[in-house]
Amino acid sequence: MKEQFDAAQISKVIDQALVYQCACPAQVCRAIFELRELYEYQMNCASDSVNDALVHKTIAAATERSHEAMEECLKKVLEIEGWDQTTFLMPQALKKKPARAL
Amino acid sequence: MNDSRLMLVDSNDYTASVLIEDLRRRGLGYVHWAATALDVPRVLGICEPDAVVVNYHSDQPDNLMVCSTIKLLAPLAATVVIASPGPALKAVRHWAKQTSSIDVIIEKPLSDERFFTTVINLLRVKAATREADVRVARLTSLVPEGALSVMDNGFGDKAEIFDAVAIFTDIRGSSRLIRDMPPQVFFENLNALLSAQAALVRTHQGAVVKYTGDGMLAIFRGMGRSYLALRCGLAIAGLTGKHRFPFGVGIAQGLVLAGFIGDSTQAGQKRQYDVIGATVHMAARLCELASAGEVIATQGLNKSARISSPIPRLMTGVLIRGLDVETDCLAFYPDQTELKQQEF
Repeated sequence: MKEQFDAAQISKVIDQALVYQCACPAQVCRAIFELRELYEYQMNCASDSVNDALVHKTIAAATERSHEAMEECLKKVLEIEGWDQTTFLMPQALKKKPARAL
Repeated sequence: MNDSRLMLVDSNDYTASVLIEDLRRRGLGYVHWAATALDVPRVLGICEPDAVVVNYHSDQPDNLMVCSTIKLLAPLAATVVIASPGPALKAVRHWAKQTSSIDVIIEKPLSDERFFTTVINLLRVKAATREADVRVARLTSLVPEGALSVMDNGFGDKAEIFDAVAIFTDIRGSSRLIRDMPPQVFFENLNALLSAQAALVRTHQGAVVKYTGDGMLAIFRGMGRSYLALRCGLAIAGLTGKHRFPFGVGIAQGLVLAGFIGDSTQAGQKRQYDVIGATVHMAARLCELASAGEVIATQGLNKSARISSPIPRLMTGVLIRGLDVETDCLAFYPDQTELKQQEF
């Protein structure tokens, strides 16, 4: 499965978007991780001769398409929100809660 | 929940501020913050937390070590780790399994109330446990040592008969003393004297059964009980002069009956541990006969204890009220200087 973002980059987005409003980019990231896990599971399952390989291939193919769509979605969301896609740092404008609590 | 003891470990200023703000908004009061792993021991020492929230950042995998530090330095605190899904969450789960240093793992993002509810509930449970522990500690001091060991063995109704030495102490002229001094002063002096007597009982490996109002009942069991009890009685008598109230000491050896008196299966019924029997009665009667600062013990007791200093005075044919028997006793009047040299 092709990956536009590696695990560290996705985790970094989630870490920063901890409790930020509706945490939308983080939810997309979470979905990407879940799809990767689902894909990995199908890959391991398909190698088991007892199981119907076609079932797992079908699920894996759908997962791959979904994963690609969600990664594309994340890319667009990060662009819209103005994230730096090299450092994956959250833009200042999104940090709506100042560090006054510290 | 303003007195909650919550600590946050988060290396990122921004996420730490967001978390602290959100926790405070939910009424959790002051949250102690450690920004680095090096800060953790110091902050733990300051706040003695009930719960520690660790915000795990996937780009700092070594920070999981902090969970083990927390468990080591604050083993009673619950550790809650928040981690992003994917490899970070797997690493946290693996660490939790390997080290048992993490109590709760919560997935990021914290888009619902689950995290806050968990923290609030953990703090409530910890605060309630702490209160209960304090209460138990207070109640424990009200229960005789003998009763505690019986309770540890199932709090049964079984009475126990065993060989023991009983020591009884009693203040001389306590009714007059109560009349002659303000109640608070009387109580302070009484507490000081009985506490000193109890401390000597413990030093000599005995157990205080109860305070009898203006005196004390203690027992000694096991090997060397005669010697230890008689030495203890002499040490107690040696308190005369150091304390304001005069008192006598009676010591007797023999079978005693110990157990819980009263039926606690009925609601509202009182139950108390006591040690009773002829030996206890004999010690009480000998205590009545003793003058202030004097120890009277049955002669048979010193056959085992073999204490010759201070030199005892033989009292033959002492009639024991209530038992209608005559017995030979020894009266000791400890020399203060000698006692100081022989103190345990």
